[in-house]
Amino acid sequence: MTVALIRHVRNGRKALHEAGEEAARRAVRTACRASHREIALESVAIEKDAMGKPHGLISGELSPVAVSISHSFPFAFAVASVIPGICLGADIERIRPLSAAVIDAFLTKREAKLLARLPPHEQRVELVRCWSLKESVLKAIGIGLRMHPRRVDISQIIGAKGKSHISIGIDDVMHKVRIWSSLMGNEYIATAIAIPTTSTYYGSVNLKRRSALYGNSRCSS
Amino acid sequence: MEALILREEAHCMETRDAVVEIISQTLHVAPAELADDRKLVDLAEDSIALFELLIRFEQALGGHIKYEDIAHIETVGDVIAYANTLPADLLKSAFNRTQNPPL
Repeated sequence: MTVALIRHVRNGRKALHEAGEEAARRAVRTACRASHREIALESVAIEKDAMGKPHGLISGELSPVAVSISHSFPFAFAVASVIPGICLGADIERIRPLSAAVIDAFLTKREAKLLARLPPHEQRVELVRCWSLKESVLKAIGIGLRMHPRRVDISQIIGAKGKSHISIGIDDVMHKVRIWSSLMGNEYIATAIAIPTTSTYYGSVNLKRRSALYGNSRCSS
Repeated sequence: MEALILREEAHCMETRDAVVEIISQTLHVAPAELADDRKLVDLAEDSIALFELLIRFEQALGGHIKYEDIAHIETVGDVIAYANTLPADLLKSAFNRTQNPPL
């Protein structure tokens, strides 16, 4: 999983969107470089599938590269991986206080209990990191906020600083994932997650994704 | 027949008012800016604000709808259209609740 971050993006939806695609192209090139391949930035295109999930396409190649893009003014952030069988999710958030309603709604009871044990000064950042990681998971499985974030359980991540390989739950099924997160000053936090598609039925099968979206399973707490 | 049409029109206006009120309060956007074709994702500052809007709708409707029922909705007009499919008394109580927002 390689990361590309562009700072000082102009404000406005179009500028952020373009910077996000630029970051994704750079992340694809860096990922290729890490596997000892040189490609030109111009040979990488970013296209979205029917569910809105972006994929990297290298000119002349059939297999898409896994990418994920996020922006929060003034940043555009993207991750890419050329390793087959991986789905990626990335998110960048401004660190800000969250309303009690949002906190109650997106955390599971177990996550809320674990967060309450942290010192108050750590809670503010950790809450936003939790949100960001859940959004990364939902983006990785190609669903986004159309699925309730409480259906994702990241309790093993809370307080586990420095660990990159960890398990998360999606609808009570555990998946081994790789996580990455980084603070940018005290104002922004970026997170990314890599989930092996073999370990999750959400991976790339649209029918299963639709079933996850419109199925009857309620969020669990 | 005319009375029925007038009642339906009044119901639609109440629905629009309730929906616009919730969006305006949650996303801090003036009601005048909430045209039907405005996308919620463009109106919200970020994904957290968008999520807050969705849970406000879920709560305003008293748990009669599931989060996933509304989470795919894209525009202000889509929310109004969806709300118009709900029973009038349910919307009336949701509208009353927005006068004293639960959140």
